[in-house]
Amino acid sequence: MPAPADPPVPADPGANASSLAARQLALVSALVARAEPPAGMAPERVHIQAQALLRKRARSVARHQPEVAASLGDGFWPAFEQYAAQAALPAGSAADAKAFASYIRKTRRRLFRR
Amino acid sequence: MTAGFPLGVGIGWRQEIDLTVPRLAAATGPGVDFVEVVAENVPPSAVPASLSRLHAGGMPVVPHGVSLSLGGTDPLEPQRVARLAQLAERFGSPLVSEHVAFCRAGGIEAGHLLPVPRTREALAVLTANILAAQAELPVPLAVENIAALVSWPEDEFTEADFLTELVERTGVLLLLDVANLYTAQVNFGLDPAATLDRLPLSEVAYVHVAGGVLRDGIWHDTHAHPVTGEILDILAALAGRAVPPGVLLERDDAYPSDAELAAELSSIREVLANARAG
Repeated sequence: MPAPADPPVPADPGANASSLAARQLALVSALVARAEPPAGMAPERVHIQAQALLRKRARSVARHQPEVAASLGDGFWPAFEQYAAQAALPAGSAADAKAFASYIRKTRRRLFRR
Repeated sequence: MTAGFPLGVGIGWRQEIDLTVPRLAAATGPGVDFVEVVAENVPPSAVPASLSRLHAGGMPVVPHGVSLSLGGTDPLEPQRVARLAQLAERFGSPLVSEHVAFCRAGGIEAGHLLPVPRTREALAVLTANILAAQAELPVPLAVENIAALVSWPEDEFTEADFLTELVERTGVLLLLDVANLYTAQVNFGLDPAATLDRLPLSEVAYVHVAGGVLRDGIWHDTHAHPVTGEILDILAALAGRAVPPGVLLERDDAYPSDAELAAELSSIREVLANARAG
């Protein structure tokens, strides 16, 4: 599992923090990398949007890995939230699902070792 | 209607309902007049057999992109535009559609359609990207108003004026999502009637209808819940001003029975018929 990634620094984020490029990067970073919301944007709405994104990812992961999701039952959502909090967003839902399955396997191994 | 492709009433084709769609289309009665496919999910060189059969049987197919990021300041990715073009060729589509949105920034994927600030700067970016995409597409492009949970403090235009500017600057058609107008009504206090009054309705190529859910006072456009009366009321308000050439039902998850989808399609037809009977 890759370490939680800092938001990558783009080659040219624009002339200043108020440029469109910088504002868009700020919103995406807030949503996928837990950066501060763009200045002036309601933080609670950014949080709701981030949660909605997580739910969307979780549904997609459950579709790709139905047996992993079924084995977790009601524990699926909490496990997914924990997974998402410590991992960078993989490119694509298939990669996301694979990374989640691997995270669950590792978590289970840790539990058995205790 | 200058946008005039007579599309009728359709449904989003999805792999999960690939047997339902032909059943709905073959049902006694008006059935399904066209389908829309998510471009990113349908490889032009490996179209799923069920979709291929449906198209071979005469069903019009509209490719719908979700990842061009037309509102993004990152450069437009030519292979994404090429894919829309290839799908339009493969299906002989009357048009293709995308969104007034961005979905990546500085190379980071958001995994979602995000609203652009409605500013002059964003208008210029959208205009350039739409013109560039149009130059590579064999058919007209329509762009859709998205469902948003966040809004930008720097907004200078209303949603209607912003879309109108885009139409005037690029000649792009509109894919008007009435569920997304409802989302903006609940989440940001947008007035759907005033918005419809200001939009160039003659440039609407087709309309999206979808269900969602209210959570803690916020409307989530899930495409996984039933279409509500409020959303059909906005469709009726639109059709009362100008009957759109096409209306498409979107369902992306928690698929209900064929009967339930058929009933939603019938409700849409009823709204359009009432408007025509006016």
